[in-house]
Amino acid sequence: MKIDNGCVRCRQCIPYCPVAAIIYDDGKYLVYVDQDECVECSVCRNSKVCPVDAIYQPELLWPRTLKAKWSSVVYVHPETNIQGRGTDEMKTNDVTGRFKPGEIGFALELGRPSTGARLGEAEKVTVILAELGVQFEPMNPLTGFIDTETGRFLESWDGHPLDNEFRNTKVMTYIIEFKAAEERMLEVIEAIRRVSQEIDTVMSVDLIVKCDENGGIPVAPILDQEGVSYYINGKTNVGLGRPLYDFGS
Amino acid sequence: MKIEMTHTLHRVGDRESLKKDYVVYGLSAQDSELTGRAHEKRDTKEVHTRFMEICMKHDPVNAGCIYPSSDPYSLTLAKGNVFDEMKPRMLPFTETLTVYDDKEKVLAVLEDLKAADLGMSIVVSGIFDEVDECCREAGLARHTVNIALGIWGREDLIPERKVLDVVTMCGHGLVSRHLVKDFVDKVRKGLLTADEAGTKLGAQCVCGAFNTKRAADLIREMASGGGGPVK
Repeated sequence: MKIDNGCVRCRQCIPYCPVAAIIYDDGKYLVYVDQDECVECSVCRNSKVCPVDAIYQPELLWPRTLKAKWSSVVYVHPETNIQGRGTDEMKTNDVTGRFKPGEIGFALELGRPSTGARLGEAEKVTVILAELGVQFEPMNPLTGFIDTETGRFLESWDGHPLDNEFRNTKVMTYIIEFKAAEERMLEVIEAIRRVSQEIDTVMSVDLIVKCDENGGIPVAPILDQEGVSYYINGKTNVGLGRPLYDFGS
Repeated sequence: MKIEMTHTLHRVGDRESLKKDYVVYGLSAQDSELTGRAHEKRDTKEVHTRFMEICMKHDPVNAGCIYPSSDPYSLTLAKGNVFDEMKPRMLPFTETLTVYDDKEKVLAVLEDLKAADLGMSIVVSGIFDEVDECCREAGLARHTVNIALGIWGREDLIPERKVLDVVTMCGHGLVSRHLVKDFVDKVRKGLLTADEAGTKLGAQCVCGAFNTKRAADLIREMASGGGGPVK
């Protein structure tokens, strides 16, 4: 986003920016958008808070296009034909069978909450995960940028180099989605905990677990026993989807 | 096309506050390689309309429909839209969800959805044991759960707790922590009511998952000095 010369310096837009990229320069009597920090989420413009409509969307060129890709909610990812930053994950598991008994789904959302993340941070995490042999989610938009064997970024993507400019691109959030066998859950969690100390942002971490036939959560006792804390609230697929995936016995 | 991410997970709060925060989400699987394209045969437009009709009967705090590749791309109660505006715009892959402030409403919704047998996947975000109780009372068994392990990494970068409680109700990250603080300040000065602040914050949320009523409660608490200083 940018602010044009019609700006009346009322500064009402400043608090609307989730990543504090709208700056008021007192000395120059100027309100501007820090292009490095801006994640192109469009919140400032969509809020319609500007009394003179001075906030506008300039044409985005690579790698700035990626900011909109991982910040705007309405961008359609060609890899998934889905708007947003992830996949259906567990929300349709009753129909798709994406996560089966004995499998644990993981989602690591870097930059969430309320922080933002540079794309280069992803590689710190994916390299560790690749060493563990996890199965990266092929439908996730980020997966298309990495070599799933090594966890490293590809040399290029769609003709664009995945260089330092790419790595330094800040977006709202992105999600690393993968799954692993249940018996490796604690090992993976421990690896995520270690690498979380190396990233220059935050990540929201979650697990996806297929319940048993009585609605019980098979891994809950393991998490409790090993002292892995988790929120009292979360998402529950109540199993009303049809046709139901056949999980067998 | 759908808006997908774990956007109703990771809502931070204490039990008393979270007891007033449930999201019911209806969606049709679009992963054709996983479903054997079964859903291409279904009139998902009709299914999503029926889902919203059922959910709207039970007095939601907020609700939203997202219309892929349309302008406007979403309508929500927090933006001042009403269901009569949402209904005629429904598309086959419209995203539909509603937010409730009471477990009993969630139970009533689940009972109605079970009876309607729409065939769409239904996800409820909320306190696990209370949602589980609703499921059992409605004659359902939990199928799959998504468990949040928390926020790891540079925790020094995240806002203070009560502000975090508010902003995490927008999983897409569109509700700014700075706006929350600005509104708390305005409520303190009598320039805005807490209810108005909750609604204005909710208007930043694209999908309608933001709980405007809980946000108003949290802002009221912060404005009165509860939850520690707002820096």
